[in-house]
Amino acid sequence: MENLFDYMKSLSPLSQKSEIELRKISSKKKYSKKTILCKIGQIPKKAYFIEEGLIRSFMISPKGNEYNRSFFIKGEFTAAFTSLIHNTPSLYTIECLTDCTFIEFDYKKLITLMETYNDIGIIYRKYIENLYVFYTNRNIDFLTLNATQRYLNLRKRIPQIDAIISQKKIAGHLAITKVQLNRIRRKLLTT
Amino acid sequence: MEQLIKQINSIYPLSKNSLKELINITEIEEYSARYKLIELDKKTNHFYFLLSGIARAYIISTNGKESNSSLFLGNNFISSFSALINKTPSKIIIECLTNCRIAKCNYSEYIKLADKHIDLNIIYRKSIEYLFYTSEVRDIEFATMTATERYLSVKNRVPQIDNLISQKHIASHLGITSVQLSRLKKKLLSS
Repeated sequence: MENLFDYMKSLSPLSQKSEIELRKISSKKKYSKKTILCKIGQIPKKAYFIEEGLIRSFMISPKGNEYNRSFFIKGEFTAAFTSLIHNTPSLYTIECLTDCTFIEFDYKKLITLMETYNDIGIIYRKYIENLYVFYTNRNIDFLTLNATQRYLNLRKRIPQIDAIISQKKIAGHLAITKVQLNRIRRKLLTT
Repeated sequence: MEQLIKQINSIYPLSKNSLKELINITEIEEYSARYKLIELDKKTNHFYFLLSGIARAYIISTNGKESNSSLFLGNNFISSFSALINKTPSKIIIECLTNCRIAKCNYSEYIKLADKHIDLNIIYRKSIEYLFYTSEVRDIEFATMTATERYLSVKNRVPQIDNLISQKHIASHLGITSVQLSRLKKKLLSS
């Protein structure tokens, strides 16, 4: 659990009292590879801090194509975020790509703490700001970087990605074909 | 200011004191079309709320072309968040497409208040959460609605849109070319 609290304190100071309250509503859980944390169409109830493992969010388009939206790594939170906030059915499925260890939170209880203890509220605010910046930068990268650069950024963030998931999934995430990805990788090997 | 206060209270009810503090650091400005709220490679320390008018956020892609990332049709919380939060030069340009009435607020001043007043922290957090939500809605719309359906949705929101901004901006927002938009509109007129 120390990773989580170190992470929180890196964002903003956390009082002892607030830390105790957070610990009360959190639990450490281990899940094996392929465990589904939240299924598309289900109303999510939990947020997860990743201590170990790699997670993905994905959906299947009406045509049957798999779309891998995001990957989540150690030191981050994962959840069907907007559905969690609005208490609506999840638009994505969230799945463990490896064996994982999480600190789980019931989201409603977390919000209550956030709205009672301002130091927790400030930590969450900073977290969500950083998260929003991450997503908008990613959208900008889609419009300004070529596929090779986006692939390299992905590898920088998740060095082991090629070993953990199929080329097809990576290509889908980068919005290119498997053939294009193959070409990119061959080119990178020769440079 | 009335409109802004109404909007604020619809997100989260602020205490009288917090509202007073917020209004103190907010200015209502009128900007004409073409005015840039945030310029390329410039730092920013403000966020904005669009009360009336239409604005856009765009980037310059690697080939020098403008790429519209968002069209703001009213009641939007706007800034270049990456630049604001990381205190770095903005990669995004935010520009008024028509005359706009905008509430302008100093970010550093706001944060100082939010650190002290839990309800200001909550409303800021909810505003960012709402940004996530609209960005996700947009992603889903792109994946599930045709360009015609998305055009009709925009017309529904701002019936006069074709008279207010150029076709190239509407097309860019819909992710199509001006030619495709022209064709789409002709088809609608004939049906």
